Amino acid sequence: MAYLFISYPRRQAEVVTRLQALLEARSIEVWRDTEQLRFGTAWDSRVTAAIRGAAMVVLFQSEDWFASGPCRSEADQARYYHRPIVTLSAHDEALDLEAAAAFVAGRFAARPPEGDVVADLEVQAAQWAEGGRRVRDLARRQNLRRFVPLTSRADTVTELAEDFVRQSRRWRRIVRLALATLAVGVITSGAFVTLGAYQTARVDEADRANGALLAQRATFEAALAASPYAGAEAALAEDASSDGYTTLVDAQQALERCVPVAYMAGGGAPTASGATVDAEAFAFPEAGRAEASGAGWYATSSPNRRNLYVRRTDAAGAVSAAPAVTVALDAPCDDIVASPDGRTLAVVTARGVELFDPKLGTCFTELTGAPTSKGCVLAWSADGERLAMRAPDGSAAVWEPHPRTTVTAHTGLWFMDGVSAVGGAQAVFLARDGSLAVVDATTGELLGTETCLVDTLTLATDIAPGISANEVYVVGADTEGAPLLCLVDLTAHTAQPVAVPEDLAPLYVATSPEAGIMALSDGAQTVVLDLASGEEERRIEGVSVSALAVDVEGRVFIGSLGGGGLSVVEPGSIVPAKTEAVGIDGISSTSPTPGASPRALAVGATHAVSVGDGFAENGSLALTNVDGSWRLTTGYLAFWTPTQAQQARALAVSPDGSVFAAGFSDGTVAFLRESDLCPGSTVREQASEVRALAFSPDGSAVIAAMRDGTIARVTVDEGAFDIATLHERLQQRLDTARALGLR
Amino acid sequence: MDARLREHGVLLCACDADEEAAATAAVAARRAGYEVRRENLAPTSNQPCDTPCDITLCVVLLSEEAAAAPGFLERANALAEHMPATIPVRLDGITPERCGAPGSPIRERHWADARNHPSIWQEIFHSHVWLYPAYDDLAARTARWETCGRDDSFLMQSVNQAKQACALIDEMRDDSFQRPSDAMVRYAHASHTFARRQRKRTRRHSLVLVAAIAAAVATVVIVRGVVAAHVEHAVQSAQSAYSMRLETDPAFFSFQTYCAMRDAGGVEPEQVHALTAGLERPWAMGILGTEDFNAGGWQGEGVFAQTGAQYWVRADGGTLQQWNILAFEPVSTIRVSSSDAFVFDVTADGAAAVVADADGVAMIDLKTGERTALDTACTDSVAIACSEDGSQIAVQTASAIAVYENGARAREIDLAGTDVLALTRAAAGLRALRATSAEAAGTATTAEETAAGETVQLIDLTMGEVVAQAPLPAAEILTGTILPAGEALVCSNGTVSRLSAASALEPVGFTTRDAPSALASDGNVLVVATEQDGVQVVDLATGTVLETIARDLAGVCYLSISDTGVVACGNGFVTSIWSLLPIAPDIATVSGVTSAKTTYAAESATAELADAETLRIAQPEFALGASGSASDAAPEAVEGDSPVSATQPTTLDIPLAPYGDLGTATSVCIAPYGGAVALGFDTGHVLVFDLASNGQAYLCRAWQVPTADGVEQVGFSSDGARLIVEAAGRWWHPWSNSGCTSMEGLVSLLRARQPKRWPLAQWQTFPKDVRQQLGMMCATAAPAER
Repeated sequence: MAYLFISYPRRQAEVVTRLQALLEARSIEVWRDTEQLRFGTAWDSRVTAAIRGAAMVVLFQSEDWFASGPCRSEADQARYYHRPIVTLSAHDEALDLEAAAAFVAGRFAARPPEGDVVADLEVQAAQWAEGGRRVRDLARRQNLRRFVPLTSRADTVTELAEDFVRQSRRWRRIVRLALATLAVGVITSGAFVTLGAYQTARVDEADRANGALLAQRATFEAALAASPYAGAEAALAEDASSDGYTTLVDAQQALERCVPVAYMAGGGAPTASGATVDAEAFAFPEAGRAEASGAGWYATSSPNRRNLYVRRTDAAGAVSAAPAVTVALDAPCDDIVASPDGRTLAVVTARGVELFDPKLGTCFTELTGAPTSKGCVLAWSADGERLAMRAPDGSAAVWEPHPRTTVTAHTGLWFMDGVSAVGGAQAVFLARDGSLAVVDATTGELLGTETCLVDTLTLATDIAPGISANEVYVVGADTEGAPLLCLVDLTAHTAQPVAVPEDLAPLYVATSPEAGIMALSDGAQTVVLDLASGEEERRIEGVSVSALAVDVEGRVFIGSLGGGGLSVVEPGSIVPAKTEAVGIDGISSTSPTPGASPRALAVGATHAVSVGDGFAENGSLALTNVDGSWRLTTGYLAFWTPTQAQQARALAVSPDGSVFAAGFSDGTVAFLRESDLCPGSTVREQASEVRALAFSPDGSAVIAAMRDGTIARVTVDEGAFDIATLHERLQQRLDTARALGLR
Repeated sequence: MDARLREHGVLLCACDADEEAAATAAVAARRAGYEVRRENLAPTSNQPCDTPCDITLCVVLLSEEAAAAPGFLERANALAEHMPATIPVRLDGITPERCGAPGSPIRERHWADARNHPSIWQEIFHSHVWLYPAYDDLAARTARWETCGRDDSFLMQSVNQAKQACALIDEMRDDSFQRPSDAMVRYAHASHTFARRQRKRTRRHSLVLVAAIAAAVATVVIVRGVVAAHVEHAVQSAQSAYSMRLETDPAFFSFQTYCAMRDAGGVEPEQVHALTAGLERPWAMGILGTEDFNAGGWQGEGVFAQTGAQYWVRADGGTLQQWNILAFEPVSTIRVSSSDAFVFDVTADGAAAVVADADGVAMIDLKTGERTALDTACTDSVAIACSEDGSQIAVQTASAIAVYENGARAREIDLAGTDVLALTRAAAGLRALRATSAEAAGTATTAEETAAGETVQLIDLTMGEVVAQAPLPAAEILTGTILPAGEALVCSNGTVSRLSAASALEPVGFTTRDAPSALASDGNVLVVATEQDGVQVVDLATGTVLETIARDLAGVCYLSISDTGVVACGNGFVTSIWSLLPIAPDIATVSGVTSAKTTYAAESATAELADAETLRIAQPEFALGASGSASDAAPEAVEGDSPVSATQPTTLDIPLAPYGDLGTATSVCIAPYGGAVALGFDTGHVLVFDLASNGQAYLCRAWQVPTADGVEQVGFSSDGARLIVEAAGRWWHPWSNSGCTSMEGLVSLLRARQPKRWPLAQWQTFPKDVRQQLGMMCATAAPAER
C-alpha cells in the first residue's frame, strides 16, 4: 500500500503527529521516521528503505528542518530515489494543518501511478542487491513488464534499479533463448526421431521385404527344381498382392516349364481327362537309339552313353571324322532322336528329356512333369510339333516343346538387324552380306529376299526405316571397306548411296519418318539430318555411340560404348539432357559396367529401353521423362529374366508402344511392359541367337530373325503381365496334372 | 533478508548503580521467557568482549552513572556492535548524544524510556528486534503483493524463505510493536504454498530440461547413427538382394550371404543352401584396374611373365602396368609409347619388353624404362612377339612379318594374300599362324583346290619355314591361336580344330556360336571369348565346355594364359584374373590323400559303403567341422538331406537315395582333418559331406566331372580345401567346400577362396569387423607412371 514519508525535525513531532492524523483520516498511510522506529533499530537503513518505498515524500520544512542533517539527508535520498516531493513550509507556527493535509492529500492523489512503480522497483532492486544479486530475486513476468518502461527514460530510477531491470531482462532473454533452443532442439529431435523412425521403419520394411522376397524366391526355386508342379504350387502360394514383380515372375517361370499335354499311365489305361496318348501317332523305337542325324549333322553317344558327339555332314552325307561338338550329359542317355526338320536333337535320360541345338551342343529346353526312368524312348510327331516319351512300364507322355514359336523360314542368311516397314505390315531383316529378307509381319512368312545391295556391300551392319513405307536405309562397308549409307527401295528393288557429311564414316543409323529426321553416327559423333533433304541439322559430339534410336518427337537416344550408358538429346539440342539415375527402391543399379555396351534401342510411349552386352551386369537400361526431367533406371532386370545369355542384340516395341520384346544370344525372347517396365514372359523354344525383332501390326506376335538365318514367329502373351491370369493358368496346370495322374 | 532466530537469551548490561533497575529488568525478561545473563560492564571486569552465541537481545541500561562509569560506554558500544539486537534503555535524563560519538551504536539507536513507563520492560522483552528487518521485508512484500493484485510473482519464490516467513509470523504474534496483519499471514502462507509448488515445478522442469537436453543430444546422435547405419545396411542388403549376383559375381554374393548369416546369428538351412550355390560356382582371383577405371583409366591386352607371377598390361597414356599376380598388387607403371596405340610383348623373365608403335620398334628395359630403338622405319605394326630372352622379335605389319635377331632385321615374310591369325612365342620359338589362299600357299594341285578355299599355315619364324599346314574350307569366320607346345588351333565358322604336325585339321569337339573376340590356350584347355556366350573354358581333349568364367565382365576381347594355369580376361577397361586349377584337369595332381576303395580308413574314422545306397561312417568320436568347435550351433541339414540319427554314438549312416541316380560308388575318402568325407561315382558325380559334431552329416558339395567321365579315385588335398578326383586318367581339383556348415569353417573357406583384392565399391559394403575377420583386402590403383 502506498504511503507518505514525512521528513521533519524532532522538535515538530507534535505538529507532524496532528498532520499525520489528518492524513490518515484521508486514508493516506504515513511513515514517520520516529513513529515506526522501534527500539534498537538503526535509523539510517530504515529511513532509507522507507524513503525508497514511499509513494511521496513530504518535507516539513522549517528552520529546524534545515538545521537538521538527517532531514536534509532524507531530502537527498528522496531526490536520489526520484520520489515525488511535496514541501510544506512550517516556518510559521500558525500553519493551517487542515489546508496542509488537504494539499498533501491532493498531491498524493494526483501523483502519477508511475511513481509507485518506481518505488516498488527501487525496493526490489535494493533487496536484490542486499540478497547477493541472486538470479532468483530478479524481476519476472508482470513485475518486470512494469519496470521496463521506467528504465527507458533517463533519471527516472537509480542506477541500481536500472541494473536490476537490465539483469532481469538479460535473464529473461537467457531463459527465452534456452527455452527456444530447447524447443527447437526438441522439435528437431522429434522430427528427426520421427523421420528416422519412419526411415528406419521403411528401411526395415524394405529389408524385411527383401528378405521375404529372397526366402520366397529360394523356396520357389527349390520347388521348381524338384518338380514343375511343386513349382506351380509354390507360385500359387505366394501372395499375389505383394508389391514388386517377384511374385509375378515366379508365376511366369512356373508356367514356362514345359509339361505334358497328354499322358498315359502304364498299361495303357486312359486318364480321367481322356487326354490319352495316341500311340499310333508316334513311331516309338523298340529300344533306345545311340545315334541320330539331321540337317548337316550326325550325333552318336559314347559307349557309356554319358556323352554325345555331333559330327558335321557334308552335302553328300559324309560324316566328318572328329566331332565338332561334344555334349556331357548329367546321366546316361537312353534314347536320342532328331526332330523331323533335323534341327533339334532330343535326348532322354533318367533325369528327364532335353532338347539340344546340334550345331552348338547347347540344351535350350527341358521337358518336365512326367516320370522318367531308364529305358525310355522318344518319338516326334510327323509335323515336329510334339514329342512323346514312352517308359518301359508303358506309360507315355506328350509335350509340345514350342507352343509359342513357329519357324516360318530358313534362309541361310546371317542376319544382323531388322526393322518394320510398309506401315508395320512387313518386317525387313538385314543380312550381313546386304541381303534383305522381307517377311510378312503378321504370319512370319518370307515374302522375298532383296539382293540389290549384295554387290554393293561386303558387310552390312545396320538398318533403319526410310522416309516412305517401302524404303529402308542400310549402313555397311563397301567392297573396299569404306562405310556406306544406302537407301533401298523394296518395291523398285533398287539401292542408291546416300550422301553423308565428309567427316562422317557411318556405322549406325536411326530414323523417325514421323519426325522427319535421321541420326547417323560413326561411333564418336552423331549427326542429325533432315530426312527429306539430307541437310545437316545439328551435330552431337562428345558422346560415344554403340546404339542409336530416334522417337516420333525427334529425340535422339544414344547408347554409349564401354560403360553401357544411355542418354537422350532433345530436339534442337546438341548435348545430352541431364538425367537422374533412379534405381530400384532408391538404390541405384544403373552404375556403368565396364564393357557393357548397348546394342539395341527401342522407344515406347513413355520409356526408351536398351539391351546389349553384359546383360547380367546392368546391361539393360531405361530412360523415362517424369515432369520434364529424365530418369535413368534399369530396363530388363537380369534377376527377373531367366536367361544365361551374355548379350541381347535385338529389341523392338509394339506398334502401340505398350510392350517391348528383346532377343538374346541364347535364343530367348523376353517381353517387358512399357508403361511400368513390368517383366513379361520369356520364351526359349529355339537355340539360335536372335538378331532382329519386329512386331506384328496387331502386336500379338513378334517376328524374330536369327543368326543362322531362321525366321520364326513368337506369340506375345499379354496375360503374362497379370498375376490373376497367371494364377488361373497355374491352377489349370495343376488341375490338368492331377487329371493326368501326374500329380 | 535472512533473520536468524536465536535461542531466547538476553544480556542485561548495567552499571552497579543501576542494579535495581537491572533486577527489575531481569525479572521481566525471565517472565517473557528469556534466559538472562547479567553483564556488569565494570571497567575492572576482565570479561572478554565476546558475543555469546546464545544471546538474542542485549539490553543496555543507561543512566548518568552508567555514562560516567569509566569504560562502560565503550564496552556497551562494543557489545551493541556485535549483538544481534541491542536496546538502549534510559533510566534517567541521560541523552543519546552523551553516550557515544556520532554513529556509535548506542547513540544511533532508538532508546526505550523506562522513566515513566511502568510497562516498558514488558514492551522491551516482547520486542523481537532481531526479527524486525525480516518483518519489515515481509510487510513490504505483502504490501506489494496486495497492491499488484496478489500476483504470484510477488510471492516468495523460495520455499525456505516462505517457511521462514511463516515462522516469523508465529514469532511476531506477540510482538510489542509489530504484529503480523492478516494480509501478512495470508502472504506468508500463500508464499509457502506457491514456493512449494514452484519448487516442485522447478525441479520437474529442471529434470525435464536436463533430460530433454540429454535426450535431444543423444537422440540426434543415436538416431543419426542408427538411421545411417540402418540405411547403409539396408542399401547393402537391397543391393545384394536385387543384384543377387550369384551368377556374375558368386564371391560377392557368398560374402554378402555370410554377412547376413552372421547378423542372424548363425547358419540357417536356407542360407546354407544359398551359400552353397555361391560356393559351387567359380570365383575370380580378382580384377585388376577397377580403381583406375573409376578414375577414367583403362587396360588393354596383357601378357604373363615370370611363370605367371607377373602380368604386364597395356594401359592408358602409352603405359605398361606391372602387376604382381601372387599378391594382386600393382608394382609399377612405365611409359613405353607416346600414344595409346602400341603393341608389345614381354620377355619370359619380365625384364624387358618389345614395343611397336608409330615411332617404330623398340626394346624397353622394364626396370629402368630405358628405350632402345630397333627399327624406326617400321611404323605400321599390328602385332609383335619376342622370344623368351628377347633376342628374337617378330613384328607383323600390314604387308609382312619382320623378324629381328639380336636387334637386326633377319628376315621378312610376305603377307600378300594372307591373313595372320596369330603371332606368338611358343616353346620352340616364335610362331605365326596364317591363312592364305591355296594357290598362294602352293598347295593347290587342281583348279578345284585353287578355288576351294584357304590354307592355314603354322610358320616357324626362326627358321622361316612352314611347320604345319592344312586346307581350310571357305569360312566367314576365321581366327586362331598358337599353343605353347607349338601347335595351333583354328576357329573356322565356329568349329575349333587343331592343326597338328600331321598337317591335318582335327576338330576338337567344340563350336563357338559366333566369331570369337579372343582365343587363348595352354595346350590343355582353350579359353574362348565371344560376345554371345562370354568366356568359355573348353577341354581340348574332349571338346567339353568346362566352365564359363568372367561373367562379371562384358565384352571380353583380350585373353592370356600363363604357364601356371592363370587366365587374364580383359575387356579394354579392366582385367579379370582366374585360376584354372579348380576348373580344368591336369595329368598331375596336387599333394593330398586319395582312395580308390569303397572303404577308407583314417585315424579319425572309417568310411565304407554299407550298401549301394548308404555310406557308413564309423569313428571313435565325431570329428569337428573345419576349424570349428563343439560349441558351434548345430547346423541344420541342407535341403535334400535327411539327418540321420546315429543308431550308435560312433556310427553314422548317410543315405544316398535323396541325391538321385548317381550310379555306382567307386571311391570314398575322409578328409585329412577328419571332418568331411567325399564319395565318387562311376557317373562322374562326387558328393562331399561335412561331419558335424552333432553326429549328423551335411552335404556341402555336389560336383560332377565336366566331361562326364567316371570317378576312379576321389580324395582331398592335404589341407582339405580341395577335392582330388581322378577320372579318365586325369586329375581334377575342385573346391571341396568342406566346413561350410559351420561358421568357423565358413570363415576359413571364404578366406581361402576370396579374391585377393576386392574392388573398393564392393569392399566398402562390408562391415569393418567382417573385413578384418575375413582378411579382405581392397584393390589399389596402379602407381603413377615413371
